[in-house]
This record gives sequence, structure tokens and C-alpha cells, in this order.
Amino acid sequence: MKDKNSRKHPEAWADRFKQLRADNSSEIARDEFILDLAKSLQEKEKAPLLWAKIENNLREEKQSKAVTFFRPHLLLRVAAVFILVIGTGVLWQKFSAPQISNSRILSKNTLQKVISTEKSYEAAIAELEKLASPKIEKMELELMFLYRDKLAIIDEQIEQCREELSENPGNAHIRRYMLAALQDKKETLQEIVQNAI
Amino acid sequence: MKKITYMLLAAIFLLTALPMHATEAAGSHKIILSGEKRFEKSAQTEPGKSLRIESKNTNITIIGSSQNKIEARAQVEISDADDELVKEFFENTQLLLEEGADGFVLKVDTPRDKLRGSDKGLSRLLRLIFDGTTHISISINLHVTVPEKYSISVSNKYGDLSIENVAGTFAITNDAGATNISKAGGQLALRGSYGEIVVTDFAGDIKLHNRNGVIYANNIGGNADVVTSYKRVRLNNINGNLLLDASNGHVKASQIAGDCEVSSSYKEVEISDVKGELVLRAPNGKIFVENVGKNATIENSYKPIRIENVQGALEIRASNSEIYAKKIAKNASVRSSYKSVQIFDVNGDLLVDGSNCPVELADISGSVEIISSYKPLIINNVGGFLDIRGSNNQITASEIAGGGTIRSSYKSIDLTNIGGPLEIDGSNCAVRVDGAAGDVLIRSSYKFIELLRTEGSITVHGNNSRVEITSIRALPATANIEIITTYKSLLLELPSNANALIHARTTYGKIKTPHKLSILDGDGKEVEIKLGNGSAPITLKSNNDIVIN
Amino acid sequence: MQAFENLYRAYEQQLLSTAHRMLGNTQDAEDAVQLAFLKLYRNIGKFKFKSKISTYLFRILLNVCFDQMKKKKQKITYQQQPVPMSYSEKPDLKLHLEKAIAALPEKMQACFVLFAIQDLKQEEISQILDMKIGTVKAHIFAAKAKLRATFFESLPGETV
Repeated sequence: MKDKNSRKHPEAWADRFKQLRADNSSEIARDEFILDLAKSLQEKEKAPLLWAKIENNLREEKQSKAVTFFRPHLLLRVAAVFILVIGTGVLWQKFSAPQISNSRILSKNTLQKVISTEKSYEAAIAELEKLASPKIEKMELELMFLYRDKLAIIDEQIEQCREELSENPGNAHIRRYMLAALQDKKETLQEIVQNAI
Repeated sequence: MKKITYMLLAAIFLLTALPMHATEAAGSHKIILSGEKRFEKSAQTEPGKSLRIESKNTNITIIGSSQNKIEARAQVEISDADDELVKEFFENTQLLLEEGADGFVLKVDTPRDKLRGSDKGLSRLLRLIFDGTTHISISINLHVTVPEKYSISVSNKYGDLSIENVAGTFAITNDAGATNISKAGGQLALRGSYGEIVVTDFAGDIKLHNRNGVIYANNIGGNADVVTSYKRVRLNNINGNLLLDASNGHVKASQIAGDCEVSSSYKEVEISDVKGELVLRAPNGKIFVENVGKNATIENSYKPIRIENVQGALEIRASNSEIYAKKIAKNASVRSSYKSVQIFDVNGDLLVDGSNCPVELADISGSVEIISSYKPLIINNVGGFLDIRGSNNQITASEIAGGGTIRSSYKSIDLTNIGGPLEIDGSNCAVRVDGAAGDVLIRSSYKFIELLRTEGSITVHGNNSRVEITSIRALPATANIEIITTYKSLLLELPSNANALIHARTTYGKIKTPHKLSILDGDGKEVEIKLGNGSAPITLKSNNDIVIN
Repeated sequence: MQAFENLYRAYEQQLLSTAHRMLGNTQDAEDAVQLAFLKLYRNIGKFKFKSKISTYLFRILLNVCFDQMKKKKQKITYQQQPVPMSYSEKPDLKLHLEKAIAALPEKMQACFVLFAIQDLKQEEISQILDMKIGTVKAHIFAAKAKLRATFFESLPGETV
């Protein structure tokens, strides 16, 4: 039997303890006493400055880390500047899933088209990232984790494909997976911007 | 000195050549020549042994055959600007099929790594400028036949894999490629990433782990253990238990012969025809469940849950989810908030803990306990006891066989045909009870209290409430009626054959009755009426008029 | 940041109280909670929705506590203040219980603190500590037995 009053008065704890001991009471009664007493340890903890400290920590962490999360790879930025300087003839390609033929190694022309499409995706992603970044920060925590995890997985795929393509540039299969990953990232960022999942 | 000369030459060349090859240098690659070569290998073997394939950039097809041998055919395709390199590549490429202590090992051995570094110095730099890369492009097709009973182990990347008509132990890793396994059996452990996994007609247990890819499985003879994230999962006809973790994947699973444990989030989950127990965790995802053979436990938040036909008990732990449940064979327990809860046809007890939820229940064979507030509660046909702990709920309940205790405030309480004892604590509630087979106790205030067709004792304490008790169906000899109110009038209509001793007292009103009465005080404010043998004591008190018919 | 603050506000008491019971003093408890939030922020990508966010946070917090306890080697450093005697020289039972809980093996201690003090369900504890529910039950059972022995058999009877 739980005696709520005994939680409030230490003397009552002692009396109950004394009684239980004198009665040679059952293990269950003694367990109940210990559990009741343990519950009384759930006192209000006060740490008025703790959140301020945590917030400081997180902001510092954010400044050093969160920026890199959405920052395009250095090589990409250099490539983007390079394209802007010399690429006056480069036309903006429409966003649509590119059709890669079934041949396993791409011809020169097809490869150029695919690379151009990849660049269009990358440019669109860079723009979308700027819009998505503040939105993701305001999301409900679990949803934010989810999107960050998803984007991290896609980024990893893109990075792996990029690494593989540097050694096997004309392989149609890898190009297809690279485009799929870029498209997935673009759609995910669009979803974040539109805030509709 | 030589180095400086090369660098100067390269720089001059770069400056002159750059405009001409600008788009290529920006990332494109100049693929000029391509070549293809075919290789074949075979070896005698016997069923029950194993084959390991180590590959990359390879599309692999493995087919089981009735012959006791392994046959492998490889088609290697490469492309590069340098015809000498293409030639050298093919000269040094071979298909290897070797038997070791652990079984056969099959691989396409290419000189890629060696040739990759063959260009040196200026020629390497020039190739980099003109071709964008020093590397060759390669793709391989590998077609293998093995005995029908054979174990397969594959480690592949950037290629599709297909296995058909083989039974054995499968240990597959296929990254960034589609995997298709059909008409096979044994034990399957398949790990992939990004590519689609399709397993059909597999006689045995399967373990599928896809990092971020679609999974389809159909007609699986054993247990299924499936993990993926963010992409669709479709599972059908699993002849064992299903354990599915689809973080953020749209899930559809049907015909599960064993138990089913599923977790996902933010995406829709549809589960049907589970013969065993169901445990489903899908926060923020719409849930549809149909036909569960044993108990069902569901966790969710924010999105609707719809479940029908559970042969065991049902437990729903949700917050902010709209809930619809129907045909539950055992007890049900439902927790939610703010959204509507509708539950029908429960063959057991029901608990609804729905803070701020409008609740509608019908056809519950056992007892019902409802904890809610602010929203309407509609209950019909309860076989057991009805216990409502509400506040500010408008309550409508009918056909409650076991009686009930009802607590609410401010809104109306309307009850019809209560089969057992009834206790209502309704501060500021208008109360209407039509048909009560047991004793009735009502405490309320300010609003109208109306009782019809009662059959037992009645106690009404109505502070400032007008009280009317009419059409009493039966007044047992042992019944006790006590009606006390203040400031408002009180009406009691007794059956013509009633045996009662009525004691009525008013402070400021009048006592009106057609019956013969004895005045107990000087001005007729306190009277006594004896009807029949006077067995049932009746006490009536009000500040206002009292009418006894 | 708002999401983190909401999480903190919702579980502040439970986190601090758990860390306090595990580490024995307020300062270490605050440090542990602070570190737990930092780790949560760094590991958000690893969160996989197998459990609630709060469960994940508690798991991180307890791992931080276990690490601190290991670092200290000595499992708990209760401030060496004398046990206050009050109510006619009766022992302070709460303080005795705190000390007895602190003397439990760390996993057993965590199970008991979460179950008996924080009032968490055994299923939730099994998720937080990443152990089977049977193991949680066994730890709680063993903890109760130990505490019973400490309390009812070891405390000097004549002072009560």
C-alpha cells in the first residue's frame, strides 16, 4: 500500500521503515517501500543557466559544421566559376531525367550531354540548397534529422559515383546512378522548400 | 631543367588549346575508340558446392542448370582515346575460374590498375587536357551457369545482378546496382545500396538490407528481415515472420503468415492479411491495416490510422491521430488526442484515452472507459459498464447494458436505456435519462435534469436545477427517491400503483398535488403524502414549487 | 535551434535527475546533460527512428554518464558529507537510498534509476540501454534485492 503522505514527511518514512522491519514483513512490502522512497528522490532539479550553456555550444558547433553541410564541394565551386568564365556558349539545359541508351559505354556525344545535364542538376541543387537550408533549421526535430540523414546518404552516393567516374568516365551504369542521385537530391530539396512530405 | 621545359611547354599549350577544348576541359571526356572482347571458362563441379564472384562495373547473370559444371562467359567492353592502350588492355585481360578450398572463385582480371598509371609526364598532362582523364572506360557483362543446388557469394559494385533457378546459401553485396533474384531457394543475405532489390519466388529465409533503394519481395517461403530507408517497400506473401525497418519508406505488406513488426515514419504504411501478431510503429505516416490474426499494436502521431478486423486485442498509442477501428475480437485500448476516434464492434473491453478527441463508439461487448474532454462523445450499444471521465463533453449514450458512471461539465448529457446502476456527476450539465433499469444518482447544477422510465431508486442533487421525473416504469417496494434542488421547480410523476411515503418541503414555493396530503407545518410548506402501503420513502426538497402527480 | 530547446524543456527535469542519480552531484549532472546535447547535435544523422528522440537522447546521456563513471574509476563520488541525523537520531533514509543506489553496478543502477525514479516503462528502458527487456527485468529484480538487503539487513536497527 502506497502511503502518499509519507513522501512528504521524512518522519513518516522512518516510522513506516521501522514498522516493516519490526513486522518481519514480506519482500513485496519491503520492495514497495523502497520503490516509494525511490520515487521521492525525483526532486525538481534546478539548472537555470544550463540551456544557455547548451545553446552556446550548439551555436558554436553549428558555425563550424552546419555551414559545410550545405556548402558545395570546393572543386564544384571552382568548376562553377570556370564554367561562368569560359562557358559563354553553354546553354541551360532543361531539367528532365536524361535518357541514357542501353549501351554500356557512352559515346562522346552522349557523354557530353549527360555531363551537361549533371551540371544543370548541380546548379539547381546549389540554388535549392540556399533556400532549403533555413527551412530545415526550422523543422520539427525528428523531421530535420530525417532530411539531414537522407541528404547525407544521397551526398555519399554522389561522392562515390564521382570518385568512380573519375576512373571510369564513360561507364553508362555509373552515370545513370550519378544522375539518379542528383535527381533524388534535387527532389528532396524541393520537398524541403515546399515543406510537403 | 627538363621539368621546367615540360612545364613551360605545357603552359603554352594549355593557353592555346584551352579555348578550343573549353567544354571538354570543364569535365567532359574524349572517348574515341571502343573495343569489345569475349572470354569463356568452364569447369566440372557438383551440386552443393559454392562459387564466389568478385567484380566491379559488371552486369552479372547467374542461372542454375541441370548440368554439373560451371560455365562462365564474359564480354568486356572498353573505350579510350589511345588505340594502343585498348589493344594492350585486351591482351592482358583474362577470365579466371579457380577452385580453392572454399569452392570456385570467378573474376575478370584486367590490367586497369597497371595501365592507369602508364602515362607519365607531359603525355599524361596532355591526355588530361585533351581527354579530361587518364583513365579508360570499362564495362563488363558476365553470364554464369551453375548447378541448380549451389551456394553463391557475390561482391559487386556499379552493375546489375540477376540470379535465377538456384538453391543454396546466398551472400550478396551489390552496391549501386539493381538486384533481381527469382525462382531460387535456401538462405539469402543481400546487402545493397541505392539500387532496386527484387526477390520473387524464393523458398527460404531472406535478409534484405538496402541503404536507400526500393525493395520488392513476393512469394517468400520463410522469414523476411528487411531494412531500407526513404524508398518504397512492397512485400507480398511471406510464409514466415516479417521484420521490416523502412525508415521513411512507403510500405505495403500483405499476406504475412507469421508475426509482423514494421517501423517507418512520415510515409504511408499499408498492411493486410497478417496471420500472426502485428507491431507497427509509423510516426507521422498514414496507417491502413486490415485482417490481423492475433494482437495488433500500433504507434503513430499526427496522421490517420484505420484498422479493421483484428482477431486479437488492439492497442493504439497515438497522439493527434484520427483513429478508425472496426471488428476487434478482443479488448481494445486506444490513446490519442485532438482528432476523432471512431471504434465499432469490439468483442471485449475498450479503453479510450483521448484528450480533446471527439469519440464515437458502437457495439462494444464489454465495458467501456473513456477519458476525454471538450469534444462530443457518442456511445451506442455497450454490453458492460460505461465509465466516462470527461470535462466539458457533450455526451450521448444509448443501450448501455451494465450501467455507468459519467463525469462531465457544462455540456448536455443524454442517456437512453441504461441497463444497470447509473451515476452522473455533471457540474452545470443538462441531464436527460430516458430508461434506466438500475438505481440512478445524479449530481448537477444550473441546468435542467430530466428522468424518464426509471425502474429503481433515484437520488438527484441539483443545485439550481429544474428537475422533472416522469413516466416511472416501476417503483420497487424497497426503492428510495431523494430529490433535492434549490431555486428551481421540481416535478415528480409516480405510477398509479405506487406504494410510497412522500415527504416534501419547499421554502418559498408551493406544493401542488392531486393526492391527499398531511401538512406538517403551519403554512403548508412541508407535507407528507402516503400512497398505497407507503413502503418506498420519497424525499423532495426545493426552494421553489414542488409538483407531485 | 528551437527544436532542441523544445526537447530540452520537455525533458530537462528527467535528464538532470537521471544524470544526478548516476553521477552523484549536480555539477557533473549538468555537464553530462550539456555534453549529451552536443553529441545529439553531432549525431543527428545517425538517428534512425527505431525509437523516440527522447529515448535516443537518454541513451546518449547514459553513455556519457557511463564514460564519466569509468573516467573517475571510483564509480561514484558522493560528496563526503556526514549522513545527517534528524528526527531523534533516525537515519536519513533518502540519503541512505541514494548511497545504496550509487553502490549498484552501473547497468543495474541505470535500470533502477530509470524504472524506479524516472518511472519509465521497462520497454523504454530496454531501448535506451539497448538491452533485451528480460535483462532489464533481471537488473531491476537484482537491484531491488540488493537494496532490500542494504536497507533492511545492513542499516543499524537500534538507531531506528
